[in-house]
Amino acid sequence: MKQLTLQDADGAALTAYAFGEVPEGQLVTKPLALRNTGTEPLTGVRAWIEQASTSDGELRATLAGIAITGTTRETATALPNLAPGAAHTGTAQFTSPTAPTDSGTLRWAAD
Amino acid sequence: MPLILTAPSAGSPTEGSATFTATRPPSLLGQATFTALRPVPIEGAATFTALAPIVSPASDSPLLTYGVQISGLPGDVLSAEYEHAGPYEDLTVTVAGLYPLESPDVTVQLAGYADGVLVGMLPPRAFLALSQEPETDEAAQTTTYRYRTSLEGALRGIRLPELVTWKLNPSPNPCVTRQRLNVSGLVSRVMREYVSPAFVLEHDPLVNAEWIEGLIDESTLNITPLDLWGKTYGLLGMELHVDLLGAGVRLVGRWPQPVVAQGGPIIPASVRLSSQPRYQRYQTPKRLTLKGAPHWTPLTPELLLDWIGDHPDLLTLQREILPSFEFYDPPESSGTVTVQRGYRKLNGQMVAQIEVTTDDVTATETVDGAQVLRLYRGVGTGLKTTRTTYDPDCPARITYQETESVTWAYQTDTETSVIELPGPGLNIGVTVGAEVAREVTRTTYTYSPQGYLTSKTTSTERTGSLEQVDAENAPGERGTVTARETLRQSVTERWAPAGGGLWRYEPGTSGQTLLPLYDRATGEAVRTVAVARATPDAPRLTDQAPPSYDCRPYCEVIRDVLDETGVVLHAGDAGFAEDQEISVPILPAADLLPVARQLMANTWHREVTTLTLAWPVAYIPGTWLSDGRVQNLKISVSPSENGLEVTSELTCARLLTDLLGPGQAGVEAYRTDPQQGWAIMLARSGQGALARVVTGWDAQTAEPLVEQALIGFRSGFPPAPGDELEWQLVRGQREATNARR
Repeated sequence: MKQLTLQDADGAALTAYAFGEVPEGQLVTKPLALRNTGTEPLTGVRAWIEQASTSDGELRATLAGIAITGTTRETATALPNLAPGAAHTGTAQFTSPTAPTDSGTLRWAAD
Repeated sequence: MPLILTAPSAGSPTEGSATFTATRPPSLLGQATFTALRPVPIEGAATFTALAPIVSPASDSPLLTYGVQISGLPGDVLSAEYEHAGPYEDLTVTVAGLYPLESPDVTVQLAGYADGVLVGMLPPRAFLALSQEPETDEAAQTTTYRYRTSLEGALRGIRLPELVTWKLNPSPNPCVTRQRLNVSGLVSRVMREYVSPAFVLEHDPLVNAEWIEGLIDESTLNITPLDLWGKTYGLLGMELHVDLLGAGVRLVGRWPQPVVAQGGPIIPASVRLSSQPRYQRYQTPKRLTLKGAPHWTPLTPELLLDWIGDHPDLLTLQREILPSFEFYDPPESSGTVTVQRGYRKLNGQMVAQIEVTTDDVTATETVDGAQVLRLYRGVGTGLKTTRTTYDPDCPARITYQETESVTWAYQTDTETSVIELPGPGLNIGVTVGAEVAREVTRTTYTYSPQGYLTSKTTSTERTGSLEQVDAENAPGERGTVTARETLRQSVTERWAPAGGGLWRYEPGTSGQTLLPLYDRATGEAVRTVAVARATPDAPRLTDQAPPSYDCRPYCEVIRDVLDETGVVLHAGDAGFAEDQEISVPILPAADLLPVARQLMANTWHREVTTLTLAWPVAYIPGTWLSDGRVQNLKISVSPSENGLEVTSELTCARLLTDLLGPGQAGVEAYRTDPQQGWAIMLARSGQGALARVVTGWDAQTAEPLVEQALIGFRSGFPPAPGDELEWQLVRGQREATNARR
């Protein structure tokens, strides 16, 4: 079975996370791990960030030391392959939004 | 083999004959199927949300001003109400004037200022579709427009193609491999491709759920995306909401109520116009039962024997159950006769059998007026071997069967020898006399492409008479006894459909018989002559159909055992509502407990707070505040002395854990219906069967609760080990009501 799961620092699966209030001019950070929780090795691991607008607050993510700059499935940022149980660790960061609420989605895929 | 003919010596005419026979050899065919599946990419997503800092007015009595931009309408705005309840955004706006024929696109943007400082806003929202006809009030000379922003059009209006891979390309042999499809991946793909490209699941309780070809099956053909949601996450009660995305919306899958305890920014009490908390406790069920996907066990012969365990007749069961096995019966003796049999099963079919009979044989002969007698003790009197060939394309049907029997002669001067039996099963030597003949019966079966038996031809060769060189000599001076005349006989049967459910059946027998030949002059029988003749047997119509067979390829798996799974959570003193049962037949058994806890949390005690603010806010449903998760946002724009004023009403809900937390609900094993069910037959037992009866599921160990129990048979149907028995409780005893092979 193939499975790729985003986890928090405690190893819990992460599908949504609310940073709460982000003071103006600050950046909040959440540690992450993108882990191969399946039983098969994964190739073609990639990730991208979808966000309606980055001018009012921006989601940034780094995995395996690589900044995720892709914004669509087609322009996704390539990441190293993952053996079962292995993970790419990194962070998600959000800059203070000027709109009342802002959200961004980190997406990932593997072949 | 060379044929050598020697010229007879003069004066001693010698007759001879040679018979040449040819038989079609049984076909040896084999096949192997190789399959490859295109990898299905996996995808996932996580949404991160951030809030701008909440700004409080600097003074206790600030001067509030508003920026109200509601554009696109034909008249001046008198009042408006924006509401976001989760699944959609609603806008109701009333303008001065009568414009019943207009259906304008509207853009709304609201801002609130305290002493000139921005304290709250609703970012631009676009409303492009009326949800009702414009409503006019002729007395007041106003027109009210109602808009709704949702993705319902795509959710309900699109008919999906078939996206389940095996519905388009079924696996050639599901026994070898079954295709699987991740539920979460397919639902996300459908929602993103057909409804909302930015779709996300806020929680994914079906992350490990799979459809499995032929077992946990589904089709997307001609259903809507909303139907697909209803067959998956909707079964759990999860809902499709819309989140703001620019001026539009995107689709989000989430629990309708908060299932986790989470905090968020505080809206200070000083800025609340009102704040009214209340409890909601009476929706929590006393017991929550969650039934999941069946636990799939491919039942192999070895596993079936493991389930049978220690049984007094285990050897017989092994012979019956193991598909490839060579074995023998214990020798059967009656008086001096002993019969031994050996068998070979291959892929569930009996492909070879041997039966050898030994007995005492007494040979008597009168030589020179004196009776000579010789006793042979325990010598072979019969040897029969059968070999059967099956159709490789349809393993259940026989294509060729050959039975050979060996005949031995015992005379007073016969020299015995020992033959080693060729098996199967038997590895013994048998003392035998002079081999006289091997008589062979061959049966060939042919089948119609439609699957039924079209012909069966049985040919037999039997020894008709014997001969011996120097037969008249004294014992010890004679030659070997050999077959002289061989008689052949064939029996044919043919079937063909004749219409009206009838079959034309054509039997026929032809063969040779030995007739005595008389010398016309002397009237004495000189010798026998073999003549061929056919026995006429007219074709006839019958309603008796020829056999047809299940042509599924051989499968090592006897059957797919699907055990019910489930878990029961007990809310204890925290439960007030009636018991609740939810069935999600795609939820893997391993995920039952965590998902049941989320379901329980979704119904758990909660504190619901309704608070109002004197300016617009954009805390839409799903936003976390200190009061809990926002469930509803209503923004009212109403006239005041200073123009239009704006107030916001937020409804937030948070989990209450003052009695117990949902995570503390007791866990009970799921129990199946004790009155009826299905069981796997293990072995026969008197007037019934010993069966594996599943009584429940232990979600904590992820194992079925199993007992071995007797199931009685009222009728005489003959199920076999590995069959599925349907039973019901009759006067405290389980009785079989049906059986399935």
